[in-house]
Amino acid sequence: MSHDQEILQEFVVECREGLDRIDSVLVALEAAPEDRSRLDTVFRVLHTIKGNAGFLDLPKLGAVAHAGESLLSRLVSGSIPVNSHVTDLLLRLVDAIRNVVAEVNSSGTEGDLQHDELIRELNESTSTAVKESPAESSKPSTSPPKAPRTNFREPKLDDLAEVSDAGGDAKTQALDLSEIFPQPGRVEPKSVPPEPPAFFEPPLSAENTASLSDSGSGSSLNSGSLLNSGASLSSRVFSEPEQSTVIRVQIDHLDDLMNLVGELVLTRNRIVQITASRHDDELTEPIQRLNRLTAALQDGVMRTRMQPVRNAWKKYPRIVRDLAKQCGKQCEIELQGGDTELDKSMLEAIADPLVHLVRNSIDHGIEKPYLRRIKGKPETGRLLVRAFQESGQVHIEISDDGAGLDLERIRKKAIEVGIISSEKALLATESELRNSIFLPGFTTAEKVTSLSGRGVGMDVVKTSVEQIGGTIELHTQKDVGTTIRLTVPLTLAIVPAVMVACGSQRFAIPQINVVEMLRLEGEERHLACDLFYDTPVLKLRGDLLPMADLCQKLHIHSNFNIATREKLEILVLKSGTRRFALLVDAIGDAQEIVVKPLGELLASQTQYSGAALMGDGSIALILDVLGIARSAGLLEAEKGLIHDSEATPVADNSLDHQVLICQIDGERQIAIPLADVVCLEQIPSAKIEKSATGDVLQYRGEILPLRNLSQNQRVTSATATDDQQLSVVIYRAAETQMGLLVDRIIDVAQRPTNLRSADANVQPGGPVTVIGTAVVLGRVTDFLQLN
Amino acid sequence: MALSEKIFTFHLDGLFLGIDVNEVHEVLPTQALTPVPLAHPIVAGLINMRGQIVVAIDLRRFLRRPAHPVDQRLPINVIVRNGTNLMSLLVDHMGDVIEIDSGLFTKPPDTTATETRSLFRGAYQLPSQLLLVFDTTRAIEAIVSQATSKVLQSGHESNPPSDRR
Repeated sequence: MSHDQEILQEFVVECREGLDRIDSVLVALEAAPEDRSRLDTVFRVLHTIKGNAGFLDLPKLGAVAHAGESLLSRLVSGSIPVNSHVTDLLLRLVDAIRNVVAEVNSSGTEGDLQHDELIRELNESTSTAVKESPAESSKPSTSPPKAPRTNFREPKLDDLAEVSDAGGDAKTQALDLSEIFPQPGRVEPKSVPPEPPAFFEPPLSAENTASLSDSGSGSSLNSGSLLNSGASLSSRVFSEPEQSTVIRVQIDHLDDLMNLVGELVLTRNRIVQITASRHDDELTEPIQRLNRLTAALQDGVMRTRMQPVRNAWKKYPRIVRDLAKQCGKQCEIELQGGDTELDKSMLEAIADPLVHLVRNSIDHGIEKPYLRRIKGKPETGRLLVRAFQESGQVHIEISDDGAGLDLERIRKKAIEVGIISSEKALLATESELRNSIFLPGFTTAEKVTSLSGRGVGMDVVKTSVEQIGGTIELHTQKDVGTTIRLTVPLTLAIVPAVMVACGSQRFAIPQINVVEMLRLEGEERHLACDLFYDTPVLKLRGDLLPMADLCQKLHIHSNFNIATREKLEILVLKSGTRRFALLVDAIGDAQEIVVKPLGELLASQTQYSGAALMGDGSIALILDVLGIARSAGLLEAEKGLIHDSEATPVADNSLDHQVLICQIDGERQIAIPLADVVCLEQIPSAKIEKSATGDVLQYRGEILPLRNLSQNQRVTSATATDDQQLSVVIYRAAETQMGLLVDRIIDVAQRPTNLRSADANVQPGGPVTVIGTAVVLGRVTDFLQLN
Repeated sequence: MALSEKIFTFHLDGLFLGIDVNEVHEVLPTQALTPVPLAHPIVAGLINMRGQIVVAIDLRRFLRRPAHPVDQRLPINVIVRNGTNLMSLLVDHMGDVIEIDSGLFTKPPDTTATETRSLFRGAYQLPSQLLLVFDTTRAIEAIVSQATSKVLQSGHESNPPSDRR
């Protein structure tokens, strides 16, 4: 299988998994519209599909997913309520995507399925309040058929015509795709269901075939192509072949094994504890053996689930190549440590966030070639993805040598979208600013593109990483680059946790969420605990942390009382970037626990992420720190902010709003729309030649006319010494390219909105027009329009 | 020969109830219950079934019967399958597995409330008492939907932190 096909196959499998997830989530969502986390799940899946569709050159799929995403972002922001009509639309969207995916799977192209109607409806729902209207289309069946034939739809003439059309179109599309894919549209024998001809035989009875040849008079329809299109149709109707499910079963099996081994480890620990206190020499030897064997077994089972991280990296070179091309950038990627192994479930959990980070690095990090040249860096950016194991954890680093984070811009943007107040932003430290990119709703992009800019990026990445007990760190230096490091545990099954008591119950809190533990007695407690009007807070080294009483939040009866208690035991927990204090009756010891899911019945209990068996056979619930914080209302403020940021109007076009700032005449500052700039060159003045039209330059095999904006015409080839380097801005004017001589290129800046329009008599006609002036980078700047 | 079926029987607040024996995964004596704070009241807690964590449902509460009397023997666990998960139904005490002639089976009377009707598929007329037989699938569905749906509301009640001081 070629590399590209492998990527397509992977995409298909990924999409199906995502779609399956959405299906169930949507139905659940309809029943409980207030659960926003479900919307997020759907959003994430669609976002991924859309992004991947972009890379794989599947524009229709991208369009459908984009329309769905728009609708969802309104749902998330709450401007449209979730009702059955919306759910219906979304389910139809899922079916539409599924059909395209089936088509992609069988033919390698998107096929000819039309989704304009659906997209229109999706967009309508986005723009107007949704009326409760019955969906006119017949509800597509969501359950895969048990026996192929029972679901067979007697094809009518129209259908067959459609099929042949589809076949034809698929072929032409395949030809287009041939530029990208070395083996266009060639169906891998493996991916075609073995029986399709058999499916198609019954309807091709004599009379059907006869009428078919009657109607299809013009088109030479040979049986081969019919069978081919039949194959694609049948794979569409009988979609979801077994491939992925087979793997799932095996993984479940491994999970079971993993669980059992986890139990075994705990049992061993217990036995070791007991025998240690008995000093029975006869037991020592077999216990040691048990110890060794258990460790070996645990290691072995864990290894069966291990996969090299390379598996998640396979598609990066292509993503980087396509994305760089799309952004007009040059970038190469280097992968190091692909052999580093990670538990399969962990690898799956971080696969999407990693792709997101890689995309971010190219989209936001690496600069355009000419900017890189200005900064004295090689034009081709470098992206390094590196993985290694250290102290029982796997570290994955993504570093680029791009622009780094512009902290000032982040500060401005953070204020703009309302994530932090302007007063706080001014006082914010560098690390606080850096971390604010992880807040929900944050985006520095001016425009929502197919690549990025919706502000669902980094916070989702952070959440996904934290969900699996990982951490994310960011190091950045302006113009040097950005490094993002993910640290994840080797496996999910066994987690170190802190045990806490609350009333008569014990709970486990994953250690990864615990920042510190405090015991406050006597005077201390009065100093540290206070009320912010009516909200309990903990004063911790100058910070005010919201504080919640676990017993109170869980409605557990406890004899302790925050007011009368002599001694307070407090955990400082973090969830995302937020920290809060949790008051418990007692903090116990740290233990390794085996996480077990709570199952469907308690799925809506977001305060718990699972349960664990203790050494004595009792059960402890594992607290989900995020869920606790939410249910305690500690994250209310954050929720509000997401809403605000959604309401903020997004500026229209990023390139149109950026200008290149240059210096001419020694002191005059001008701004040129960046959108018109092709590239920046440094040329020795000796290369400037004369022609009838003025100064010209031989540039890439063409004669490039040069314009000099200086009032002082002397700064030209005539006066410049031969070895002097001149800065030339090469820009596009109408059909041709022109060069603009400037003294110095200063920077790229945001075009201010308060442009003072210029007097009409300034530089009438000519190659450039001054359209206004404004203060940029502390100087009065003329804004030019290149004619 | 008349058809017959095997019913697993148990007692609950004076009721004589049954489940198709094939639907019963196993029966466990009284187990230590770990309560799940904030969960729906019909969720009695979690039990440890040989290393597997199973949610126990307070069947009395689900059927809106009075709570289990304190002086009685503690309830036992009837483990049933719920999809891929297991679920324990807490019942007062276990009866026998009886094989009954299907001819004795009657559907619920028309006057039965719809809610009840969806839980029981009918009854066997035994000499001493009526044996109500659960429609296991639908009953489990009802339990799941009740446990998950109302939970959201109870979760909401606890949401505003200000009014609870």
